[in-house]
Amino acid sequence: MPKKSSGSVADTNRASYSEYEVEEFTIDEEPYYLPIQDEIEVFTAAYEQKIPVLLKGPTGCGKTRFVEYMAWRLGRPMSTVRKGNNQESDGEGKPLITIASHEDLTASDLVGRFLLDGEETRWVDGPLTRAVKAGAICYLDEVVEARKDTTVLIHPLTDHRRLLPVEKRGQILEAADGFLLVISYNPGYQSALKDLKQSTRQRFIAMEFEYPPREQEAAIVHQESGVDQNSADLLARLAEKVRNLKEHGLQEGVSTRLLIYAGNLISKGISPRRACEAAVAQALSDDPSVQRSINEIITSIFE
Amino acid sequence: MPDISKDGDITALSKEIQSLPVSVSQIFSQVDSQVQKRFINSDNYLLWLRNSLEISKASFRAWEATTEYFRATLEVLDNIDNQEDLALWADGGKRLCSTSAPIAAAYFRSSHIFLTDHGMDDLKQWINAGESLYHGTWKSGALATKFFETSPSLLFEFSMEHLMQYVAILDNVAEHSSEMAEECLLLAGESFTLLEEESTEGYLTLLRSTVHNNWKYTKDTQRSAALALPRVARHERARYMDLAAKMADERGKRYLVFLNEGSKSLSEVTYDVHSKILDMFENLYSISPEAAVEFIHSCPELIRRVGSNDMHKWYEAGLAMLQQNHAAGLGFFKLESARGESLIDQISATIKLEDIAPILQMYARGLTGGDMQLRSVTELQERSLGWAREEKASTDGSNIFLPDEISSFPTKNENFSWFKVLCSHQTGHLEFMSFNFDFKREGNIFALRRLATESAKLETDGGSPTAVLSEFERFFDLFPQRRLASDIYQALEDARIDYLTRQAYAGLRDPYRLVQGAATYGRRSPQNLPLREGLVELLIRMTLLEKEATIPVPRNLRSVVNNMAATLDKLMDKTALPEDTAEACLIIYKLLIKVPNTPPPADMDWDETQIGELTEEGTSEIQEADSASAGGQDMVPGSGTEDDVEYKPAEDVDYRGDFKPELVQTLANLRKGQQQTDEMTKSPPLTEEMIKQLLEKSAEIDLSSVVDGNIDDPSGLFISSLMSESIEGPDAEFKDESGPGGVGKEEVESEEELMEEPKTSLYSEWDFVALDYKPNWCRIHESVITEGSIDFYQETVDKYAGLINEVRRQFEMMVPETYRKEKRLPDGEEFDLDSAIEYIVEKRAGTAPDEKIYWRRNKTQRDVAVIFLLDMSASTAEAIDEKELKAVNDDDDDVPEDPKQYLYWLKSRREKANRSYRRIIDLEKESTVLLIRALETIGDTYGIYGFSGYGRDNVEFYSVKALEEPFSDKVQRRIDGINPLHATRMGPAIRHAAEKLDDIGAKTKVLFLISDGRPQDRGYSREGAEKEYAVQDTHMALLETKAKGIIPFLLTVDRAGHDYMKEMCGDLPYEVLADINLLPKRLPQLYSRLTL
Repeated sequence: MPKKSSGSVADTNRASYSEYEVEEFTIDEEPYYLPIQDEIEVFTAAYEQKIPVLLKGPTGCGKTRFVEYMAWRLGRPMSTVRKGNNQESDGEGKPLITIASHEDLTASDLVGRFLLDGEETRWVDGPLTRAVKAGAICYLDEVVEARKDTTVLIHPLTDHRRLLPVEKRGQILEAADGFLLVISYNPGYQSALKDLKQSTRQRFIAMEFEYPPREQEAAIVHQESGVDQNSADLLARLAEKVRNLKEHGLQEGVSTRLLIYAGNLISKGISPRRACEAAVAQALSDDPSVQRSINEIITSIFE
Repeated sequence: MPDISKDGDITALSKEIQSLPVSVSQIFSQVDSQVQKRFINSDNYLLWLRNSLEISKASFRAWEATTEYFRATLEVLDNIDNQEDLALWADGGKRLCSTSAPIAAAYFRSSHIFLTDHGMDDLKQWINAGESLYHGTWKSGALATKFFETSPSLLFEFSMEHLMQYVAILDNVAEHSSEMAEECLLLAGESFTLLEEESTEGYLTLLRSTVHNNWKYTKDTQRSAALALPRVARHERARYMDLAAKMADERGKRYLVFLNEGSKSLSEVTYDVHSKILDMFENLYSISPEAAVEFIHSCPELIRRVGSNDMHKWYEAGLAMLQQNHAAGLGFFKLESARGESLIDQISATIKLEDIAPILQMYARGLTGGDMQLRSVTELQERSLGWAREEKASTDGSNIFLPDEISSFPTKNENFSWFKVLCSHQTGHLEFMSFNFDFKREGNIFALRRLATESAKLETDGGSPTAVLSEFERFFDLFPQRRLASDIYQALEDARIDYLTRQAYAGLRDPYRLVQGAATYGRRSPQNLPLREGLVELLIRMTLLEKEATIPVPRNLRSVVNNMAATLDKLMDKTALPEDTAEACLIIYKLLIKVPNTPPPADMDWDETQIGELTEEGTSEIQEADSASAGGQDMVPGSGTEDDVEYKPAEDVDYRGDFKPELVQTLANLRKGQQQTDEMTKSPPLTEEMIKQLLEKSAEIDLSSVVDGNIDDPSGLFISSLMSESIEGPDAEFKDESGPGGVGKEEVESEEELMEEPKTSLYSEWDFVALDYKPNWCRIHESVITEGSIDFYQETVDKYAGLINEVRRQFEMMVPETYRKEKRLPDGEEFDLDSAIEYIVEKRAGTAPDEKIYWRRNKTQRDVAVIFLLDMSASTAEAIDEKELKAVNDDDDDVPEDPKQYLYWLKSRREKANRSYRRIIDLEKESTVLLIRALETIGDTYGIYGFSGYGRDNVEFYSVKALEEPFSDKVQRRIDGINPLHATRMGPAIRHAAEKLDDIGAKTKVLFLISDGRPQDRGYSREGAEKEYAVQDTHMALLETKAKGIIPFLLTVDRAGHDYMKEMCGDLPYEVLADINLLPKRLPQLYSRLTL
């Protein structure tokens, strides 16, 4: 069972930062999300039907923000572990447990492991186990990066069984009602080696994300960074041009996230050219000639 | 004849003369009577007669001189009128005759010319000069004779004083060789005409020095110096000669190089920098004469690249380098130094396309979103598509053509801006869809009048619409004066593109202002053009200038200009489409066609008017009623056509380059058509006739400029190149064998030829004495090796079956398990039981336990890429046994410098190779086979290449198996194709291989070089350090390889290798194989060890 006692530390005196138990991390304020198509309806329907969701799309195009937004939107009473006001469900978000995958992410990292505690061993749940128990949305980012043995866990969880085998303890967990597995995956730069297997991908409905069209992207940048509308328009135009360079020297186009950063810098008084150089040209590539090309586009667009 | 005694004398003397040999007396009789008439004074006549006799007696064979004396008299008498002078003249001859009759003869022959031009004053000097050349020998006599023959004409260019000096010089030369002196004299006439008064002194000084130090070069010097002088700025000529003289004092031929090459260099730069260059030269000369000569040789290129104002920066850097390291400095001034090159690039304001092409290409791709290729206009011209004239930027829809370099502005930044604007204008055509014109589509701004105009035209002409190749063709068909329409359209469309670009790219506004401002300079003045052309010029100026600027407007055509301005202004709109440009073009065309193209009357009034003002006064509307009723009549020139001058197309605007909408669209349609035929769908076939027709009427192509006149049918050639263009696309070089279908057999063949052509790349070479690279020094030619028989591979496999199995087992063991259990980790999948127990034990014992008690499976992946580089030098043809014998005295296989000797040497080596010995290369090949077997089992990426070559321009690089090429029968056959060839220039081969590995994304990269001796090649050396140079360059190449994260490894089968291998590899790994027979066995061992 969890090592630290549950309870939010946020209400103690050392409040310069907030500490949550994973199950408790809910999104209470509405995150800004500008729907591009019908993704909200599709996701809601999938959630209600307990169908796991696969989000595809390039980095920084809004996948994570979308999941956050959906967690907020689908906010509903917690069933377990939560102490305190779990009866008051209105306005509460849905717990969202985000796990960033990496090459060394193993099944035990997800399910849990034994720790030494004095001269005894103690079992500690992994994040996936906790999400299953808490009925949270579990968001596995960049899932193909994880080791193959994680699929052993994902498969029974994602079909009709909704079971999580905890092999080391000889248990099987049945997922709580609200549990939903969402995975994300960027088909762009993953090599063929790391492609998602058919047996895995066919357990999810898939939603494709793209960078938003120019006007919408400008609106997002304007909203998120607080930069003026004109600069936001130009940033969106820059993005469009730089994305043309994908496969022509750039692995990925510039993400909306980076545009927002650029916008942030501009609204803090950095000159637009400098801001874009830092947030776009330098951020995208280490190759001086590619940087130079992007810089030339920047200096053409911004005065 | 009053004096009888004199008469008696005369008779006596005449008689005596008559008794001389017939040839003399004959001449005498011929001239006597005339001479007698000329002498008013009989004393003089007597003197003349007496002198002739004296001359005839002066020496043996004196009659020769006497004859000439007689002959010359009449002409000489034109210049001599007193007795003294006559005596002087004759006495000179007498004196000469007493030494040598032929000299005297020559003297008399030339004397009248001399006297005519110079009079009596210098006669004595002249005679003395001639006389001084004669030293009693036959040869010196000949020289003196020549002198008298040629010197009068020399005196046209030379003063007497200078001539005397020159004679002294000649005399000195004659001391060594009379022939040389004579040749010099012969050349003198030609040389002296090139001289000027003020440089003569210097010239003679130089000649004196030459005679003194290197008399053999006198003739060369005389000519070279004379040629050199006019090339040098006048005020520097004296110094130039002094410098040359100073250099000549040092013996050696260097000063001749200075004279010839130096002056040639100076002639290639403007006169005003000569002083500067010579200052530098003089200064440099005091430090290193050698470097100074190289310096002056490099000057033109240097100035071309950095300009004369900044050359001192380069010079000073070179001077500093020279003082530190002579060889380095020398290379620097020769322009053979990487440091020098980078310095020039730094100083130079010139922007070269090749340097910025990758940047601008990405930029263009970013802006257009298409797969744009950036190319040089020169390339376009070579493709014989008569597309761009001169160095003009243009685009054909998928390529952007830009000039090779730009140096119009004083700074790099400004020049780059120019390039950027140039490029942005071309991308603008694509981004704002210049070529996406649809005849029937309505624009956003102007009303659609094209269709009405077309039907009106058809009505008048009574024809039906003809088939057209492009929408643009259909549009331009509306205009009886295509050229005018084309000019107007180009101006308007360029203006639209500029406007939209400036709107969309705020950051380009400043560079645009700069470039547009510059673009109006040097354009033809509208006042001097025929009226219609002048108005087109005004239109172009309006598109370039700001509203506040003014243009000259002819007062009586003010309304036309107003309407033109208003129409242009209306087109400047964010939503404008090419269709709007077309409508605007139609409006302006109708305005201009009514203006006669006559030279403007002298009394015409021109008002400088602001463009803004014009715009406000004008209107863009043409009267509908007019155009309707006119029935196409408003499309043809108005009355007064008899005065018309033929309309000449407007000048292009530099930065806008060439814009050929009709051609681009046609080309695009051709390509599309081609694709469609490929897909077996129905498409209207484009016939040659149609294209021909297009070419004939299009204003965009000037067929005469496409091809030189000697080809019968330029349009035919153009069509074929256009056709092939549309089939092949611009980048035929990337075509593989599976090219598009429907390509004729011939083209397939030519494609294959294209593939056969070796790819070349340039590499720098390290000069260890100068401590600098020689930039782009070696040229690598890469090609696939010729295939041999497949038997070799099979035989080797059979022969080494045992070894192969062994090696393979060894390699299989190298393949790591995909997952390996790692223990003692601080975090992992599960407890490692042993560690956990230890932990508890230690804890109980009271010591601090080690907390690393987990284990996990770790994935390790083998990711190796390797290149095997085989030495294919001629020495590998040696028999193995012989090699062993020879190993001790291996130094005799230096490659001869002379090509003839080299061929002989090569032949003898080849002959050796035909013997039935096993050669070193055979073992190399066998080892390769073994390795391939092994490598295929572990799946490493590997490439096998061979190298050889001859000289720095011919480094051959053969691909046996390219890095990512799969193993196949072809590779097996190619192994047999490995044969001993020429020399061993290792450096560039290593660099090239390293470059290949660098492009591969593998964790471990190895460059494995197998060689049989030290690197050597013609010119792979340096004076005083022949072998050292090659070794050091190879060493540097290996270090570069290592810096790229590649493990270099050298294996040599040369047993004498220890001495240089140590130096060549430094602390890099290498191995000297004691017994070459071990190679097949050892190679896999080494490999496995390297990549573990």
